[in-house]
Amino acid sequence: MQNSYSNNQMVGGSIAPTTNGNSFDGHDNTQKFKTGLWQEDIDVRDFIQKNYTPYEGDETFLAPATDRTKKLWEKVSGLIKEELEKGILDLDVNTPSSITSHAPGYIDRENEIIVGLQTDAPLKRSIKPNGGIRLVEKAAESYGYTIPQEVIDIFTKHRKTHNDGVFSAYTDEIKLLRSHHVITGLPDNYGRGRIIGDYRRLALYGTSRLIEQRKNYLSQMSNTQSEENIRAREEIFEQIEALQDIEKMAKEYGYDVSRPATNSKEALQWIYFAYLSANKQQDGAAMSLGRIDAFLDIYFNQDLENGLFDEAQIQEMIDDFVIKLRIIRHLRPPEYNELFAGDPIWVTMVFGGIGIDGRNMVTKTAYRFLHTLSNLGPAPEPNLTVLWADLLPANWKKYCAKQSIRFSSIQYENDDIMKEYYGDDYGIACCVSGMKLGKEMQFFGARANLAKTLLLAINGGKTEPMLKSNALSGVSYSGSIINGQQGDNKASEEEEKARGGITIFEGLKPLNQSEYLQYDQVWDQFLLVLDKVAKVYVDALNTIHYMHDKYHYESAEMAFHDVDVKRWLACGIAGLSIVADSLSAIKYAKVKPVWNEFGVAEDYIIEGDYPKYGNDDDRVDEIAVEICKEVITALRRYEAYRDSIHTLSVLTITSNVVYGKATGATPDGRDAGVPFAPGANPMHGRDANGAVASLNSVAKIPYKYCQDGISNTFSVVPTTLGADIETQSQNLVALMDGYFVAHGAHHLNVNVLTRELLLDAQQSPEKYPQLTIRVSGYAVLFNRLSKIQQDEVIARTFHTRL
Amino acid sequence: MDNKSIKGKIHSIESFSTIDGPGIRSVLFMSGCFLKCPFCHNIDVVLNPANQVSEPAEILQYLKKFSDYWGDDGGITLSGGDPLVQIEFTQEITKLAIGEGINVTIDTALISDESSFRYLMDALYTPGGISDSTLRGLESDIPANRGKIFWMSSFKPHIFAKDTPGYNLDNFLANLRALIDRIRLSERVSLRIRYVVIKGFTDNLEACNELVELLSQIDVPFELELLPYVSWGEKKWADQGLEYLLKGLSSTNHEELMQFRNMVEQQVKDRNLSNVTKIMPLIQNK
Repeated sequence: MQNSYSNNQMVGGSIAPTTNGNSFDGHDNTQKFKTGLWQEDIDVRDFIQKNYTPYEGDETFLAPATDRTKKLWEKVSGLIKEELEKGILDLDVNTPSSITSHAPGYIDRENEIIVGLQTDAPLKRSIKPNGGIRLVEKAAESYGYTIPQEVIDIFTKHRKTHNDGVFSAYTDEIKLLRSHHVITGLPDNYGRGRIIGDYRRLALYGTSRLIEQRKNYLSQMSNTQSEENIRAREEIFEQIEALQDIEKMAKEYGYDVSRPATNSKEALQWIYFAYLSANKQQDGAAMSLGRIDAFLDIYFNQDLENGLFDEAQIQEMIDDFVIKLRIIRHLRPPEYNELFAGDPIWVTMVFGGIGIDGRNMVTKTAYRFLHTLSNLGPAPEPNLTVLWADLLPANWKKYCAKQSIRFSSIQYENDDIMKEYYGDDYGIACCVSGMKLGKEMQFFGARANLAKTLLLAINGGKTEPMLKSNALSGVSYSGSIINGQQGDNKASEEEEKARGGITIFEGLKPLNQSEYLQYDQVWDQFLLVLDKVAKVYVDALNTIHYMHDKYHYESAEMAFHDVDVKRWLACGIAGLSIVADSLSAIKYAKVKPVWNEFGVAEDYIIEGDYPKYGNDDDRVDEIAVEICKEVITALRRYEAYRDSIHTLSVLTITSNVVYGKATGATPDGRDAGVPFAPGANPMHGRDANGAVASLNSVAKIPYKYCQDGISNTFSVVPTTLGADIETQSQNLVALMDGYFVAHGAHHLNVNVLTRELLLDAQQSPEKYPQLTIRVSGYAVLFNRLSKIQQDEVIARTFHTRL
Repeated sequence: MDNKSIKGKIHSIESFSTIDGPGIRSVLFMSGCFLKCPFCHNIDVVLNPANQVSEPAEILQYLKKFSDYWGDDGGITLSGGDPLVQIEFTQEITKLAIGEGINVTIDTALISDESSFRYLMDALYTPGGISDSTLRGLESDIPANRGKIFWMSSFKPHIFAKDTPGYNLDNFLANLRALIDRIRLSERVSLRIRYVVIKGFTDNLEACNELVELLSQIDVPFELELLPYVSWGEKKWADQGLEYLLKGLSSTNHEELMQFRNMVEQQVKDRNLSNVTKIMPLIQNK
């Protein structure tokens, strides 16, 4: 076959080499890299550490978008606009997606530099029924498509899905807690995601080497066929098949990925193929990309030095690559949108950070990726994540702040604290979940509703009412939306839920012995219920991940891992601020429950004031810390599937709205149905002492207890940061240094915009086609949010001052 | 005097501000004011009883929680209302803060009883007193702005002052003179004059002349900050059941602010007022 270099010229017209490309025609390119362990073994980190060049300079070297880029992005923008109007642009209902299922697709073949689409056309979605066929049917139907009976038959009569697997093994207890929204959003009917392949491995080694390594492993592993070994052999076998499929898929686009990439354009293309293969096989909730900045920078530097590409061409390649990342799509049912609004993929990429040897890992390529916001305008994907650290170069910090102020599209995470757990070659899956690339993976576990847990404690193990007694009669209740269906016999069931009193846990008494709630009593019973919830929660996750491994295994992603991986069981909580404030109210004010005729509290009367989370007041902030400690302790009492280690996140994505909707009145004074604050945020409007006090409260939640991440979304009005972009960026840097470096906080979404702008965007969406905002660990197009989600975002605290 | 008995009446706290003095600041809004400026956008703070009553040390302890964000230039700002209304509390918290090397900005109209103002000056700047001696040992190590008192004093031209209940120009000038005398004695005291630009009232040549005349009398280096009038205070007056005199007047926009700035700058140049080290327009929130 043709050598890949001449192939490149054929496909990517405008990236012509500036010099004769002969020296790149072959495999000898690797010889220019500094040698090391990475040649003996699969060790991308070693390659990076031996070869990367830290960059301390500023952004002035960056190149603007080329005409080609502008034209291509214009075309893609048009398609995205059309997609927004129609819901989805197109759907292939006939072909269950796999790495090799679809013929090559292009946006504009002559003008593309990096090639490859999930299907044969841009934004055309595909089906992945291994997660669950009913969900696929429902999703298709909601957009006006019908899945052919033959396809349905395959996944009902001949092939079991993950979803069916889970529900054939769920216990009654799990089903009960699930249907009452105590544990919700579980990946039991959709792909679990949150696994990051080390996609750089394809570029550095090629499939031949990766297959060979796995074959060697198989030949050397124990030949005793224990259950564990049988599973391992099957999985490795599937990984090898996936690598072979990737080779096939790339060949159809004219590339030979059996060998390593020989220049930067190939390196980028190889990484993209590897990532694309994962997205053709899986539609997990969060398909993150990892950390490719310093890795790619090594290739770019070499090509710059050799005169193969200039800065404009390098930026053009990155812009093109990012355009591809912006059009990754999966088929989602409407209720998925309640949990994860705005059609996110979580193409999370991390940038910068500091190496464990103390060298700065910021490279020019980190700048180039953030610069795509300027060249293409803002967009939700990729999910740009800057690893913040004390010793980052001042120029870089300032540039990040400037891009945040301009585009509100970046999130920040604390490298100094994560490095202790993951070293300096980790990625972030989804929003805030750290993991060593190629060495660790996680079992995504959605979250438990902590506010409901507290209410179950107060109500003696019974569900709380969603409506007050005087509002109950004759009202058709429609509070439950996670499960969506409103069948015939659902109405009465929903009504029953609305008035509460259904027993979830036996053997507990409601805390109605005295007029006012007693703190010690509430706390003790809360811990008791928490333990019960933790048990069922871990049971549910064990079931889910057993079945996902069995019926919907991620062989493409796992092919880019070491064979032996460490696994995290990523649990989560929603409603932290509600519970902390409720307990604070019980402790520092007087809280009188209003008991309804079914013996459960329908409301709470608060006498006096109490310290509220979000004001840097230790009295309540320490309660929040204590809660997190108790949750992770309770979870770790229960054995986790495949020797995984429990972790905890305080992250809601956008489900804080839907969780709130399904939760009755709480002792902090929150009414039934009112949205929770997102992630670890203080409740809207309760952080009364300004931005820094609010940040300091969140910063107190220890990463040690919440190793899967502590999400904080922060919105500040531009002029509150200062008069001009220079002052604003300087002050934003000072804010983040205070929050991350001095106070050891974990995560911050930064939005720099005004409430008026969002209100205007809600009124006139056509004026803001690209308005992107950070929500809870990711970014969304504002126009993709539902009205209620938009309202919630608008209601959040904007730090400003009159 | 028994310091323990001093309590401050506090309206609210803003932990993060970039418009209340140099750098990033945490602001204490103290209840009460001697004036009732028609353009006041904090009339709620002026009139309302305190939301919180606390001792200086206690308040400072809380404000210090935000110190990691202040950087080299920032610190705390005493605002209000007017901190001179609670002069004992102001004196005490300033002493405590300066003693810990914190930059204190005092945002005031400089209207107060002259003898108590002189008393405050004496208490804060006795030769060998806190602001000089406490920091002497540290001097080489700490950034220039730390442990400094930064006075932000607003000036009202006659055309506006006449409509401001409680305003007395002679009182203002006497206090300003006392302050300038102190500034000459200590490097750790500095001054910024603030001036609100209100369309049709304080943005004309006459008002500008009056401002520049005042500036010419200040014989120590100082900064001038021009604030745009903002109309959002109107709602707060209505909430208090008060009539808003500037009803319907629109906020001063950036262009208008810059026009006035140019007018002042020209005069300052013409008159060679070398003590004016900076003329800064303030960008307000919308």
